[in-house]
Order: sequence, then structure tokens, then C-alpha cells
Amino acid sequence: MYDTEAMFAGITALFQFQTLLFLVLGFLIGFIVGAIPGFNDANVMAILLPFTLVLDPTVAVIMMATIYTGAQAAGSIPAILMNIPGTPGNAASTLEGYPMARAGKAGYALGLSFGASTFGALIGAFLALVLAPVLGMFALKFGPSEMFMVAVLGLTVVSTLASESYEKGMMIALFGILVSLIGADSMSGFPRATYGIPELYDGLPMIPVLLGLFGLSELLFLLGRATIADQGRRSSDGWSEIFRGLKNSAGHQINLWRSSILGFFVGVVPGAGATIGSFLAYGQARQWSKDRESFGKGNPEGLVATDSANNATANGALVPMLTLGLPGSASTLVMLAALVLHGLRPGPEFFTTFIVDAYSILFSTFLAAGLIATLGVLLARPAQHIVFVPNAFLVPTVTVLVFIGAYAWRFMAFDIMLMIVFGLFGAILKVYRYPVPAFMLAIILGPLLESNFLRATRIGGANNLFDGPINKVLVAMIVLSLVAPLATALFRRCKK
Amino acid sequence: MFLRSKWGELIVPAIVLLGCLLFWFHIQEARSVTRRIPEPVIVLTVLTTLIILMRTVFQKSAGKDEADAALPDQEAAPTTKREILIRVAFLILCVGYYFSFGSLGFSLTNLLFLLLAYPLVGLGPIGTAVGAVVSSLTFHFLAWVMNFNVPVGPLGF
Repeated sequence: MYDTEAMFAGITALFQFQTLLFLVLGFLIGFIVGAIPGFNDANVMAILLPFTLVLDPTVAVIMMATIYTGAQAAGSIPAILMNIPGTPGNAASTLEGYPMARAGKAGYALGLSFGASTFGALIGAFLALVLAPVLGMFALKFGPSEMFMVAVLGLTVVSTLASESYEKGMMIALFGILVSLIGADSMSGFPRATYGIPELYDGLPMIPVLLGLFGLSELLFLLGRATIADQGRRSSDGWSEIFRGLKNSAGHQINLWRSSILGFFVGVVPGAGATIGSFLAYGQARQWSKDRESFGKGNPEGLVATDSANNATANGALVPMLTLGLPGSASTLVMLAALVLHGLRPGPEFFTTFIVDAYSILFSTFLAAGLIATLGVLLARPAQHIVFVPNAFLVPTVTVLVFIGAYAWRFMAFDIMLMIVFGLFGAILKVYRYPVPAFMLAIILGPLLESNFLRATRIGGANNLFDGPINKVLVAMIVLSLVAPLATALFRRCKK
Repeated sequence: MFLRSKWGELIVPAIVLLGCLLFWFHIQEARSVTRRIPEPVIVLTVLTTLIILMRTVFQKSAGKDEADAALPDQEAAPTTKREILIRVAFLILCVGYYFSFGSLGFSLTNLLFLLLAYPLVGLGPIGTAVGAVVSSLTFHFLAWVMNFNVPVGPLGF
């Protein structure tokens, strides 16, 4: 099944000067784009696509893949330092990363994040290399009913996110699903709740909503503070905290393995994405943690889980793209376009026809993981000082950046207003202790839930949702996710 | 104080109920397949909202932890009238940014927004002038590098 000769040929092709140069360049571009809130790696990849035509096909795709990896890793920087996720996949990193930064542990949090990201990317790269030839066909078994169950499984994380009040979490998650249904219905094309606003026909754009809920709402709160962090200025001057975080991330062995493997398999499912992967990993980390009470207040376990998962998801997403030609996200879609433009048609034959190119691409993900640990850590040192920049300068400047990010998604001024509306709503939710991440998660999962539910029930009725071994396993996981916290709480109470 | 926070607690349920009502009203003429998912979601949302409303009304009888969870986040909520006014003014500036974006263009709107926002948030006059010019130029350069299709103002940039 594994052609070792082709593997070596792939590694040799990878260690060419041109390939390595564009690999590092791609990573740096991705890293910068990911670190700027709202700037989309897929857009940058699309802009660069025509320029890659002069490159060797494998080099072009490797460059694209490292932009993707760099963006996923760097997206945690604004998530940790400013509560603004660089990419949607980093939304869960805000949950523990930002409280740590506010407590003056920005360097430590960044070190943890890059350590976990490196581990996740390495595990993702290894699993992709080993399983890609066989896993592609497994991904094909995910029909509408299975995808519906995956979305429901993602929603079970709401119970974790709504630790203060389960009812509030439920209410806001249900409202999030409803909000996500705004726009033309996928079956009949009826524009639901658009009230004649044409910009809403395609549904709510994710980036402006994300920037509003996490970004603008937090910037409004920062107006009342002098700096993001009140303490820890002395400890954030050097490398020590970053390296301590990097070192301590390795101490979360079980968490890292669990989150990375979970993230990878979520990535393999086309359309599931890093957001679901990281939130699921967060939920699992909280459920199995001995210190569940400190989640949401800067628990390192949560940050390690989210960051290892979203980087493993990025590598997992390469598998269906290469083996089936199925892009799971906008970024993999651009990568697919790059492959097709260069005459490399992904699909079940990819690992026989273009086997050397396939291995070059997969091995390049190992190098990209190494870049997270080196270049990422190097850039983390200056980045950690952001939390001590006076808010009088930081807040208006970042607000403009957030405006640009919201606009750049579709180049529509309407999205700026949409971001402001969601920013205000996010601020109100925070004041009255509603879990904003639960609302965001529901907005992401809503369309996935609806379209797959309708397709699945149209094919075989409601029974279709529970047919097949994958569905049964997913249902078991859903039940386990819901029952496990209750059972654990009961067990602890009995033990006391 | 108790009454104020209790009334404030009704804001989110009120927004949610209004949202549900607007959604439900708009899909009344749609085909049944279009309403198949939204309608049950609306029913469930309204039910959970009513539960929360009931809890808020009978907050006194609830346990201490639940009552604490219902109260506003003291760290997030503005405490003084001045803080509230600054946040409202900042939000108005944000809305102003949206309205001037199309007519004044990208770079001029950025400059104007920053010239007003910096002093509002507490930056001095020199800091404001330098910060606004440098940040606006940086954003202009960023949009140029990224090849963004941004609106051009009356001055041609």
C-alpha cells in the first residue's frame, strides 16, 4: 500500500531550494495573514493563485498548504492577546487564551499555543501520511445523515460552554441556529427573514459576525481599562514565559493526543472544519479535566486542546481534498483550484498517478509543523507586548482593522454595519453572562444542520438519520457527550 | 440596584423574542419545506426564553449561585456614567464609519475615525495626530498590498 520509493522521491523533491524557499515564504504569508483579525487565508491564497502558475505544481500547492498551516497557527495570537480570533478555527482559543493574557500570562499562553499547535500539526501530518491512501474512501461514506449527526455532536459542546447557566446556553444556541437560517432556503430559495436586504440572501457572512461577536464587543469593554493586562509586565519581557509554555504544553500528553486525533478526523470529514474540531476538543478537555471549575478562567488544558485540534484539522482537511477532490473549506478549495490549474487532478487516482507529488505535499506538512515551533515562537516574543499597549491607542486602531477584516470578506460595506450590530449584541450577551461562543458555534452549525437534515430525511425519511454504523457510533458519542458530565458530577457528589 | 439588574436581565430575552417574532412573521408565506426547520427552532427558543424570563421574575426564590449567574458581569459592565457615555460615543463613531465609508472613501474615513476616536478614548493631541496619520497610511498600504477593492473618496484616495 505504501510505495517507499515514491516516498523518498517525494522527500527529495521537497528538499529542493525552490520548494523550501516557497514553503517558508508561504508559512510567513499565512502567519501574517492569520495574525491579522478577519484577514482570510483563502482570499490571500486566491490572490496568489495566478502568481503560482509560474511555479512547479508541487511547489505551488506546498506554498498554499503552508499558508493554510501558518494562518491556523497564527490565528491564535490575536485570539489569545485580544480575544479576536484570527480565523474562525481559532474562535475556541479565546476561551482560555484570553483570560490567561489578561492575567499577565500572555507569553506563557502563546508558548502553550505554539507547542500544542506544533504537536497537533505533527500528529495531523503523520495521520495524513499514513491514512490518506485509505481514509479518502472512508470520508465518502459521510452522507447527509452522517453530516447531520456530526453537526449535532458539535452542538453538544454548548453544554460545556454554558457552564454558568445551562438554560442561557440553550436559549442563545437555539437563537444562534435561528439566526444562521437567515437567507435563501437551500431547498426552495425563499429568502428567510431578509426583509428585502439583498446582502442577506446568501445568509450571514461568518467573518463579520465572528469579528463583531468576539472582536468589537471586547474592544468596547477594553475602553474602560488602561491596558488589556493589568499585571505580568515584568515576566513578559523575555523568552522565559514563552519557553515555559512551550515546555509545559508537552506535559498534556493525553489531552494533546486526544485533541489532535479528534481534530484530524473532524478535518477529514468534508465541510466539518477547524471550528467544530477545536470546539469538540475543548468540550472533551473540559469533560475529562480534574479542574473543570477553572475552565473559562484561563485553564491551560483548554488552550492546549483547541490549538492542537485546529492544526490537526488543517492537515486532516488535506486528505479528502487530495484523495477525493472534495474541498472542506474555502482554503482547501483554492488549493484544489491550484492543483487543477497545474494539471494535477485530485481524486481516488491521485495516489497512483501523482504519487511523488502527493508525498511531497504530505511531507511538507511536517516541515510546516516545525516552522510553527521555530518561526512562530520567534514572532511570539514581540507579539506578547500587545497586552501592555495603552488601550487609548490600541482600541481605535484595532477597531479599524476589524472594520477592514469585515469588509474584506465580501467587499461589501454592509458587512461593516452587520459587524457593528453583532458587536453590540455580543457586548450585551457578555454583560448578562450569556455564552457568546455557544451563539457563534450555533451560527456555524445551523446551516450544516438544516441542509443535511432536509437532504437526509428527503432520501429516506427520519429513520435514515439513525441508519448505518457511522450514524450509530455518532449517536453513541452524542449520548456519551451529554450523559458523561452528568454522570461525572453525580459520581463526584457521591464520592464527597 | 437589584431592580435595575433585574430589568436589565430582560434585555437579551426581549431581543431573542423580537428576533423570533420577526423571523416567524417573514416566513409565513413560505412553502412548508422552508419552514420545516425554523418553526420548531422558534418554538424551542421561545420556550427556553420563557423559562429564563420566569427565573428572572422569581429570582428571589432561586439559589444564590443561580442568582449570581443572572446578575450582570461586573467586570464587563460599565460602572460609571462617563464610561457608558464613552462607549455609546464610540459606537456612534463606528456607525459613522459605516456611513462615511462609501462617500469619503476608505483612507479618508480611517483618518477621520481615528482623529475622533483617539481623543475620545484618552489619547493626547500629539499622539492622536501622529497615530491617526501613521495608522491611516499603514492601512492604506495594507489595502494596496492585499489588492483590496476599497472605495475611493472625493480626493482620489
